Amino acid sequence: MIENVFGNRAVVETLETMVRDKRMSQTLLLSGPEGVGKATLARRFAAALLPNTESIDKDDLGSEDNRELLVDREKWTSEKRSDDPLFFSTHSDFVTFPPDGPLRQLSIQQMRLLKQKAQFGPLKGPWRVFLIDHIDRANEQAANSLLKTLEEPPPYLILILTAENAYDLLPTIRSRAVQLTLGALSDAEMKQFVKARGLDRSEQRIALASGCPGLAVSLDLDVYEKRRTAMLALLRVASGQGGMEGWAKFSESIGASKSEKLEGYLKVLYMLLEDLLVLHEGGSKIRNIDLERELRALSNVISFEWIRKAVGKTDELVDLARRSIQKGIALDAFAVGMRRAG
Amino acid sequence: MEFAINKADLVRELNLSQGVVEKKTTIPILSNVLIEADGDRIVLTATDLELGVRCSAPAIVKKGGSGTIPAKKLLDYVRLLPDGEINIKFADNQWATITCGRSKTRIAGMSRESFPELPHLPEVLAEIPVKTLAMMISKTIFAISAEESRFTLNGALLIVRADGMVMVATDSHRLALVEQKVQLGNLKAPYRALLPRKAMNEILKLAADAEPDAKLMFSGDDNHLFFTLGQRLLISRKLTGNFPEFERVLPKEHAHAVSMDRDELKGALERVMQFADERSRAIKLTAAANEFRLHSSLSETGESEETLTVSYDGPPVQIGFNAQYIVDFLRATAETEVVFHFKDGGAAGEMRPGGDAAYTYRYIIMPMRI
Repeated sequence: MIENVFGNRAVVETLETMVRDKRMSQTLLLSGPEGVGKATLARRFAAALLPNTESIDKDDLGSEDNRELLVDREKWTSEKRSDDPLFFSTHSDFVTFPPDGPLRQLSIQQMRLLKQKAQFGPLKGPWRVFLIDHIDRANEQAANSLLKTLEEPPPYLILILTAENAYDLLPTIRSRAVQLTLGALSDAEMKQFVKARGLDRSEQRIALASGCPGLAVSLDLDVYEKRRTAMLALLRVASGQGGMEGWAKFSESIGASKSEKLEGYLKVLYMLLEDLLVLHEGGSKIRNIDLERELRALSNVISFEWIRKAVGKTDELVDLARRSIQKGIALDAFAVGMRRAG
Repeated sequence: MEFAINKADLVRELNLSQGVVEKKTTIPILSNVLIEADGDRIVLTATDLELGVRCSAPAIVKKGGSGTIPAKKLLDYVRLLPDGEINIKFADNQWATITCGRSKTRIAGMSRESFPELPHLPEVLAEIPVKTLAMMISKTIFAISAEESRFTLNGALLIVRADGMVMVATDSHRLALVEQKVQLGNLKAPYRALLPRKAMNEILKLAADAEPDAKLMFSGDDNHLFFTLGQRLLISRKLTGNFPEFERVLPKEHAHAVSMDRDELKGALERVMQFADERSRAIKLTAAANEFRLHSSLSETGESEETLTVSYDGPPVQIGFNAQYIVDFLRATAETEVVFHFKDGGAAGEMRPGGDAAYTYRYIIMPMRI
C-alpha cells in the first residue's frame, strides 16, 4: 500500500494499518537520523492516502529545483522571506513547509501560513496532508503557535512532523503527536536501495551513509573527499602530529571560499571523529572505509579523553556557525585548542 | 496551440485572473494562467489553490491545445499593444510567441502538466441575482476580522435558503448582518458556508461587469463553493470551522432609538474622530433631551464635540464606541436616514438603515469603556 519505501518495515506497517483501518492519528511525529527517509515516508504515506499523486516527489527538498530555490532565497532579505513564506505544494492537498533562509529555520510566518491553509478543506477526497519538515528547526515562538492546530486539527487534516531527535522538541509538541522512530537501514537494505537507484561507487556510499539512504543519494563524493582531506589534516595537526604548517593551506582556502559553509566541514569532522572513536575502542565498522589505514594510525596516538574534547569543541563550532563566525579562524582555533589539550 | 484573439477581449478576461494569481514566487506555476484553445473559444484559468477563476473569450483557434504563461507579464504586455488582433502561438518547448502587427514577443511558459487541477462543477443549487449578492457583500465585508489568528472570522457566513439569503460577518467587536428575501426556488435544504474574504472581493469584481438582472449560478460540494456568471466561473475553497452563534449576539429589543441623517452623522463623526485615540478610535455618544452629542478628547492634542438635533425623550444615556466602526456602516449604507438603537452604557448598540428597505440590515457594535 505504501510503496517504494526501503527499510523500517515496522513503521511502514503501522502507517499502513492506519490507512487500511481508517483509524488515523492526525498528528504524527517521525524521528530518525538525517537522510533516513522521514520526509520520503511522509510523501509515500500521503500518496497512499490522496488521489493523483504522481508528481508529489517534486516536493522533495533534495530535488535540484528545490535546492536552487533555497539557495536563491538565502540571498533575499529576511523581510522578503517573511512576506513570501516558503512552502511546496505540487499536489494541492499535500503541502510541505521546509526550513528556510541561511540558517535553515522554520519561521513564524510559515507557521501562520500553515494555520491559514489548514482552514481550507481538501480539493478531492477526504484528506489533506501537511508536512512540517525539520520541526526541530522552528524556534520556540513558531513551535508554540502551532500547538492548537496540532492538538485539534480540522477533521480532514493530517500533520506530519519530522525531527532528527524527538527530544530536541518542546515537550508540548511531543505530547501532541504520535511518535514513530525510524532507524538506520541494514546493510542488505542499503544494498538493495543503492542497486534500485543505480548509484555509482556504491560500496563507499553505503559505508559513508551508515544506513541513511537519503545520504547515500545526496552525497557528492568529490566534494566530500575534498572536505575530508582537509578535516583529516586538521585532526592530524590537532592531535600533535606535525606542525601547524600541515593545516595552514587548507585553512586559507576554506577561509577564502565564499560559497562553502562551515557546517559542511563540521559534518565531515563528526564522521571522522566517530570513526576514530570506533577504531580506538577496538571496533571495525567505520564509515570512511577507504581511509582505514590513516585513521587507525591516528587512533593509536590519541586518547578517549581527547576524542571527547574534540567532539565538545565541534559542538561549540556548530553553535557558533549559526552566528556566522569566520570559518578559517574557527578551525584554526580548534586545532590550537586541541594541541594544548592534547 | 495557436489562436488569434481581439486585444480588448483578452485584456478584459485576463484582468479577472489578476486578483487570483499568486504574486509570490514559491510555486511558480501559480503565477501562470492556463490557456486552453478549443472550438471557437479560449478558456483562461488562474488559481492560487484556494481560489480559482475560469473565464473564456471568443477566438479564432488555428490549432487546439493548451499551455501556461505568467499571467501578470502577459497582461502587462498585451495592454501595451495597439487595439486589434493578437496572434498567440505555443511551441513544443513551452515558449509562447505573441504577434500583433509588427510587434513580436516570446514569453517563457510552463508545461500545463504541473498546473493544479480544479474541482468539477457540481449541480447548480440556486440562481442568485448577482447584484443582490454583491450588495450583501459590500454591506458586510468591512466587518470581517483582520486578525490572522481568528480564521473562522476571516470570511462571512453565507446562508442560502429557498426564500432568501443571509450574510453575516464579524470581528467580535461588531457584527454586520444582511438578510434579503428572494425566491430561489428549488433549493431543498438551507445551505450554510463560510465564504473567504478574497472570494467575496472577486464576486464584487464579477458583479461590477454584470447586467443589472444577471443571475449567478451557485453550487457547492463538501469543500468548495462555485459561482458561475455566464462564461465566468469562480471557485473558492470553503473556510472551515465554526462561525460564532450570531443569533445569540443579536439584541432582541432596544429601549431607545434615535433617527439621524446619514451624512450629517458621518460628517460629525469624521470631525470628532480626529481627536480620538488613534488606535482605539474611542468617542463618547450621549443621548439627552432632543439632542445627540458626540465627544472625543485626547489629553495632549485637544478635544472635539458636535451636537445633532434629534427627536428623543428618554433618559440621558452615555455610551463609548469606536467611531471608525460607525463610519464603516454609514459608508456602506445607501439610505439617507439611519436609526441608532441602544439601551444603556453597558449594552451593545445597533445601527439600521431608516425607512422601509426591502432587506434587513443590522449592524451591532460592542460598547467601549471610556
